[in-house]
Parts: sequence; structure tokens; C-alpha cells
Amino acid sequence: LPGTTPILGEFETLLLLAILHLHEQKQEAYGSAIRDEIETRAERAVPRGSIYVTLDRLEEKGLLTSREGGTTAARGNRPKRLFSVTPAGVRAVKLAVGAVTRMQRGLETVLGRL
Amino acid sequence: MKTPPRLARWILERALPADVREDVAGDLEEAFQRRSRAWYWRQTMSFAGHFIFERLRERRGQATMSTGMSWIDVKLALRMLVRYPGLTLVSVAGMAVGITIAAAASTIVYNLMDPALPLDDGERVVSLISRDVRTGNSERRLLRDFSVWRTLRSVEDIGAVRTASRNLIVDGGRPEPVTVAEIQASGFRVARVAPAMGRAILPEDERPGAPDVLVIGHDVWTRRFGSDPAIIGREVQLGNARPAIVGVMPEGFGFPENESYWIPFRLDPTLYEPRTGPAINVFARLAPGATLETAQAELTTLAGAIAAATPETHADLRASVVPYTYAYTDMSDPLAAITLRAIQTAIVLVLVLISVNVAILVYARTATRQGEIAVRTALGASRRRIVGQLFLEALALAALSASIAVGLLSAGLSQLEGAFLQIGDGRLPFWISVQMSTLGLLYTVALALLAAVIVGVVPALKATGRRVHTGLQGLSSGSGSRMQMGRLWTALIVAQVAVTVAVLPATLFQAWNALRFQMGNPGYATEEFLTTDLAMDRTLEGPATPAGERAFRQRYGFRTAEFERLLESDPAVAGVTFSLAHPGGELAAVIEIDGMPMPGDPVDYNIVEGSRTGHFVRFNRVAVDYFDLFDVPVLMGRTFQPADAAASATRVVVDRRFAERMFGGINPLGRRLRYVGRSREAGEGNVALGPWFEIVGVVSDFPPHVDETTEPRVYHAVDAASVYPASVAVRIRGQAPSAFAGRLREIGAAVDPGLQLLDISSAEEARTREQGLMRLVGVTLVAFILSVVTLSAAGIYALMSFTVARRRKEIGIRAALGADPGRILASIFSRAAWQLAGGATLGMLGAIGLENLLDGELLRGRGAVVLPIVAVFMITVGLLAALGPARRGLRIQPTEALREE
Repeated sequence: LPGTTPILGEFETLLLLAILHLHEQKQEAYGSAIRDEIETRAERAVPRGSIYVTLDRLEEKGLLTSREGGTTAARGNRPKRLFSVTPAGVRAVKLAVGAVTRMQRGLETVLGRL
Repeated sequence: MKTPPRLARWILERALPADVREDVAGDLEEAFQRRSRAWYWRQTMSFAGHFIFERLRERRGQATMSTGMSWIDVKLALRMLVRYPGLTLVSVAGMAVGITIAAAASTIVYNLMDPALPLDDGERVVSLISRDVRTGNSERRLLRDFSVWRTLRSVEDIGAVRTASRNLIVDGGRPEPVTVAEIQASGFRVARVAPAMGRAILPEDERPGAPDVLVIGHDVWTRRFGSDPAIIGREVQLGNARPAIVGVMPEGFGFPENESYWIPFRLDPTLYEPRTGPAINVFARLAPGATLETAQAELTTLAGAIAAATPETHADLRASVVPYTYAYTDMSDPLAAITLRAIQTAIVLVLVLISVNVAILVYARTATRQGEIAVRTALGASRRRIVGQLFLEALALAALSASIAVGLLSAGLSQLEGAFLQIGDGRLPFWISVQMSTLGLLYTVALALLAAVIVGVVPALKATGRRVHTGLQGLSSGSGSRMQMGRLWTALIVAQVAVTVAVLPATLFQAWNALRFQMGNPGYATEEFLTTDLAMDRTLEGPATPAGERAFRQRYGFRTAEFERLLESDPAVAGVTFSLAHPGGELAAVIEIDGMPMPGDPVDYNIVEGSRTGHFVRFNRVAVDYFDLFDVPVLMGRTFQPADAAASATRVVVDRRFAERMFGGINPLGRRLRYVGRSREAGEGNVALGPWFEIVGVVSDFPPHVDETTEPRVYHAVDAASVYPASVAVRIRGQAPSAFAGRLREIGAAVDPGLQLLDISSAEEARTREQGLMRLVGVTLVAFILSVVTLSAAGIYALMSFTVARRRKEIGIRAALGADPGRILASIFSRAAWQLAGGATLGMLGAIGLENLLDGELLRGRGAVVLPIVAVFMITVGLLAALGPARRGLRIQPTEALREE
């Protein structure tokens, strides 16, 4: 619904964060790059299929926009789809990350030093 | 630039939604550049799964309204499997066997016809071959052609390879005959595989006088050299040469076919006359931008120029550029390719036949559920929904069959691989994988879907097509089924009996042959014999000369005599004999007999091979003591004497079958025979006639003929030195023959390190090896026959049940009026009998037609016996299947039947 900020799932959050990271590094944020970013930073394996499905969903929710990028021969001359995070997306990430940060307060002894 | 597997890309493009197709496929292709084909396949399957699942999830909301498939239907479908265990068992067994056979056949066809070459950009690796269009044979004496082909621009890294057997001796140990690939350096560039250690063969190794080098495979490095880390530079004895090992190729590398030893190719192609010299294979890689078609066009032009220059040898030769493996599997022969495709199609048709049978059963079950279908329709279910549900039930059957088939298939394929490995001397071409592959799995799924469509959709459309309210009426009156077993289904039963009768005899006969071969009596004490093939190292650096040939044969003669002498002086050896072929492996030929007309038209001698002119026989050249050593009884006359082995000798010995077939009980001694040469060598229209040979003895059939189809045998005496390579049989006493194998090698090495003892095996082992494959064939055929017979019986049973159910009232009234039970039974049976007899007659006609079409190849004259047996058998099965429903019919109480109105 317009005006309300949707609550993100964990994987959705990771995706948005990865795109923001790529933008910070002035790199193209497309499927493969996003996946690599998550794998190196979050140190976990990501199935490719779920990346594209989730990117689609986030775009439908208005948290992402995408545009067509350049092609290379190595891609079989198929264009890249480049993603960027919308202001709504940034709000949603803040909300999700903030919620996690607030939730873990007071649990430092249980969770160890974070 | 690597291109991903085409089929995978095709699947991926279909599975991906249009809006993300381009970028996802692009990302994947980009990542693929650093990954393997297997990786791409895994990704494709995972993507397809993801997106199909996602689409289903999105649609679920509206879906429950329209097509209405839900988990309830899936559960219902699974429940049906349990509720009708008999039907489930029969259908699943039948379909599982059908799917297994079809998928196995396709795996084999795929491996032969379009295997993916597991090399970098493997689809661009090609073979250059040549075929004689007049004889249809492939021509591999291509050295001279190769010297011209090297100028082709549309291929690069063109190279030649030939394989030879050489004795390998490491550190003065026992010689071991190994297959060596003499290959040009470009072979390693074409394969694009770098050595694991050291280096591959380089162009400078090919120069005459360059130091001898050897590159070995990873398997040999671990097995033969104990993974020696200091292997590079080590010298070994290989035939007459002493090469240094310069490289180790990585695991799994077997280019050009399945070799583990590579030496430089040093023959100078320009020294050879056209169509002379050793057989070679020519490989290359398509140049960037070239395709098979452009390369073929260039080669055709070039070959035309060669043919114009040397018409006497090249007028009939056609050169072609083909996918690499075709040079080894002979798939460039269009006839072979068509035959394979035909076999594959026929086997898929068998699955269709089985599915039709299951469809009959399922239709019969659907008929009992007419009431349920009517109620659901009344409650608002659409036809589409009911058909969908029935399809799901069929899908459950098919899925269960497919999962069993996958199990059977992987077990069967490893059996098959084992059998292939035994035949192929422990090695298969490196591109063949007789394993359950992703593709095989996909194919199995496709076959299961095909089966489900036949089994589910056809009966469902038929069942829901009628006005359903009659079903409701039937429900209220409690009479059970009212659905008609229409004419279509009667026709199907008749057709099914017909097809079964037409196909079963041939299958039965082949299965019987396969199994009988397995049980066959070898005719001699196999447990006492060790066999080997004897050859000798020979390195030719140029064209063979007559003088060189003579010198070689002379040396070979001395060595053989010495080998025989040493063997016979060994206390464990009871005797040694030589022959051209091992017992049972005699060579085919055509003869005529003096004073006896030739069968067929003598004018047609030039098509001697394909027609019935001349008498087909098998011949062998054997040492004088051959029959004595194998204890073959002499029935008439005598066996050979030393004088018979002279080159000019004209005496032959024949076997019992020869005497019976050719002379029918008349004394054959003193009669004469001669060979009718093949006109291919002799020229158009000419017949090469050999000298006359006189029959001096008749021995018993050795080994016994498997059936009437094997040809009679003729034996010639020779001395051991004049057969090359020779088949050697050593009779061992006091120990197991296989235990003597090591000693045999030692004796061979003592005579000459260059003496090659190929394929040493005990006769018993060789027999077991052949039996393994035949058993697999036999068991597969028996499983097929059983499933067809079971399904036919079940189909007939279903039909009978419904015929009787429809006639309940009539039967009840007739019983009430005091009709004789025997007469009622007869009327029930008569319909079944008509259908069965009709089907059987059609089937027999079909079988006879098939037999004529294939020139009696299937039943080999046994039709008159086998056909009626099978027809009677099928009729009996059908009548037995009708017995149960008929007895139920008789038990109907007249009052009950009348009350139903």
C-alpha cells in the first residue's frame, strides 16, 4: 500500500544491502554481481534462482527499480538488468536493520560479543 | 568463447518468465565462461524448478477457481494407487519395464549418435573421414589424402593418429602389450588439455631422428609406475624403442579414443601411394567462423581435385567432415544412423503399446466410478476439472513407474557398462558415459509424461464425454456401471492381442536364443584352456616393401616355433595349438561344390554377399594338432597330417553340419569344393574362383552349433608361422589356466621381448564374458514379454468384467428361466473367444508379413511351430482372464437381477 513501508524478509534485506554496497563501490548491480556481493560479504551460498525471483518481488513492491544495461559477447549478447534501490527501499532497509539492532540490545551476553 | 549446452539453454529459455529471461540467461552465460557444462545443467534445473514453483504459487489464488487443481486432488490420486492395489501393481510394473527399456535404448543411441565430447568447445572438434560409395565401406588408408587435406583453411590443428599394439617393459619386468597412440602434436592442441606433469608431444618430436619420447596417462602413472613423482625423464622399453617419459596427462584424458600411451607420429604422408599405408584417423578443430557445412564445402572441392588427379583410386571415395566421434562409431553411415533411430522409435512404440494397455485398465476403473463422476459434476465440477483429476491419477501411476524405472535403469546401465567394458577390453571411448545422466533423467520424465497422457487423458475424455445424468440414474438404481465399453475399446483389445501375437514370437525366439547361448555347451574342456592372440612388435617408418614383409614373416616364424617348443617343454602344459581364429570365431566365406548346382542364379556371383548364391560357410586355418588338442572326435576319414600344412596342399576337413547340409548323408569324402571370391577385389562382374580342395575328413561340430543359423565349417591345415596374428590355445594340466598366465608371459619374453601376447584369458573367462551380455539381453526380453503378457491378460480381464456386468440382468433372467449354466457360460465366453481369435489371426498374419519383410531373419523358419503356440497361449490367457467374470455372472441370483430394474 502506498505510504506504508513494507516489512522485509531477511533475504530481501541482504539483497537490498548488496545493491547499496555495489552502488557505493561504483559497480554495476546486476544479478551475478549481487550474488557475488552477498556470498563474499555474508559468507553464505545463495541459489541463483531465488535471487531473480526476489529481485522481481522487490521491484513489484516499489523498493527497487531496474533499467537495461550494456551487453558483452560473454553474455551471448544479452543485456544486463541493472538495479537501484528506491527511497522506499532505503527506508525499508533502515527499518529492517534498525529492528534487528534494537531487538538484540540486552542480549549481548547470550549472543556473545557482536 | 564457450557456448553453453544447447538443450540446457533451450530449457532455460522456456522456464524463465519473459521479463527476466534476457538478463538471467545472460548472467548465467557470463558465469558459465568460468565453469563446466555440468554446472550449467545444474543451474538450469535449479532455475527451472524455482521459476515454475514461483509461477504456480502466484497462480494459486485464481487457479483453485478455474482449473481447480489442489493438494486434495493430489492426495486423492495417491489414495487411488492404494485403493486398487492390483491395478497399481500391474500397470506400474508394465510401465516401469517399458520406460526402462525405452530410456536405456535412448541412452545407448544418444551415446552413439550425439554424445557431448567432454573437451573444451568439444562440438567444434571434428573428424575427417572417407567412404567408398560403391562398397559403402569407410576408407582409412588416408595418409596420402591427409597430406593434401592439411591445406584446408576452414579447419585448424588438423592431425593424424594411428594406434598400434606394443610391448611395454618397465625396469626389465614382464612385457605387457599396450595400445599406443602414434599421434601428431596438434592432437593435444585440438583436445585443449594440458599435461598434469611434464609436457605433451611437440612438433619437433615428429622429426625423423629426434629422441624417442612417451607421454603417459594418469591411470598408467598411478597403476604401472606407482605415482612416481620423478617419472619425467624415466626410460622404458616400448617395442623396439627406448623412449623417455616426458609427460603425464591428467586423469580422464583418453584422446583420440581411450589411450594411455602417446608417441610422436613420424610417418611421412608424402611417401605413400594413394590408398596405401596404415589406417589412420584424421582429426581437427573447426577454424573460428567455420561451420561443419563450410568445412564440408571446402573439403568437397579439395577431394574433387584429388579424385580428378587419381581417378583409379579415388573415383568412388567421398570425403566428409563429421562430428568427431562419428569416425569411431561409424555414425557417418546414413544407414546406421537411420537404423538406430528406427530401433529407438520402435522401442518407444512399445511403451505406447504398454500405456494403451494400462489405459484400458484405467478406463475400466473409471467406469466403476461413473457414479462418483456424476455426483461431482452435479455439484458443479467442470469437465476440465474432472479430466484434470483423472490425469493426476494417471500421473501418479506414471510417476511411480518412472521412479522404479530410474532405479532399474541405473542398475541396468551399470550392468551394461560392465558388459561393454568387458568387450571393450576394460576401456570405453572417453566420451561414452553409460551412466544415469541428467539427460537420461529428463528423458525418463518425458516418457513418463507421455505414458500419463495416454493413460489418463484419453480414458478421461471418453468417460466424461457422455451425458452424465445417465450416470446419476444408474447410481440411484444401484446397478453399478452403465458406461459402455465402446467399439473403440473392443477394437483395442483385438489390436492388442494381434500386436502381442505378432511381436511376441520373435521376442520369445530372440530371448530363447540369448538364454540358450548362455547355457550353451562350449564343446570342450574350457576349464583347461588358456587362450591368447600372438603378434609381434613391428615399427614401420615408411611404406612396407615385399622384402621387408618377407623378412618379418620369417622372423615371426622362428619366434613362433621357439615359443611353441618352450611351452611344450613346460610340465604344466599338456599341449599348444595355433589357428587363425579361436573355436567359434571362424571367418565367413562362400564356396561352391564340384558337381553340385549353386543355389540361386550363378550369374549373380558379384552380389555373393547379400544374396543366396553360393554356400555360406565358415573357415579356419588350424595347426595339424588342432583337433587332437581339443579332443574333437573324427567321424569319417581322417584329420590333418603334417603334409597337409604345405602351402600347396589341397586337403580340407569339414564338420558334421557341412556333411549333413551339403551332402545329406551321402559320403562326402573325396568330394571337392572351392571358394567363390568376392567380386569387389576382382572387379565388376568378375568372380574370383579359388583352387579346388578335396574333403578328407569329417569331424564333429566344434564348438556345437548354437542353432540352425550358424554356417557349416571348413578347416585348412597350416603351419603355425603362416598365420599372423595367430590365435593360440594352451591346454594346462594340474592347475587353473589363469594361474599360468604369468608363466606364459615369461616364456613369451624369453623368446623375444617384442612378442606380444594379447588378451590372455582362460577360455572359461571368455565364455563368462559373452554370457554376461547375453544374459542381460535375455533377462530384458523376458521382463518385456512378462509385462506384455500380464498387461494383455489384465486388459482382457477388464473387458470381460464389464461385458458380463452389463449383461447381469439378462443372465439373471436366463438363469431364472432355468437355462443351462453351461449354455450361459458359453454365451459369455463366445464374445471373448471371437475377439481373441480375431486378434490372434490378425497377429499371425502380421507376424508372417513381418517375417517375409525381413527375409526370415526373425524366426528363421520356426514360424510354423512358434506362431501357433503363441496364438494358443494368448487365447488361453484371454479365456482364463474371462473365467473370473464369467463365474461371477453365473452367481447372480435371478431375483437380484430382476429387482435392479
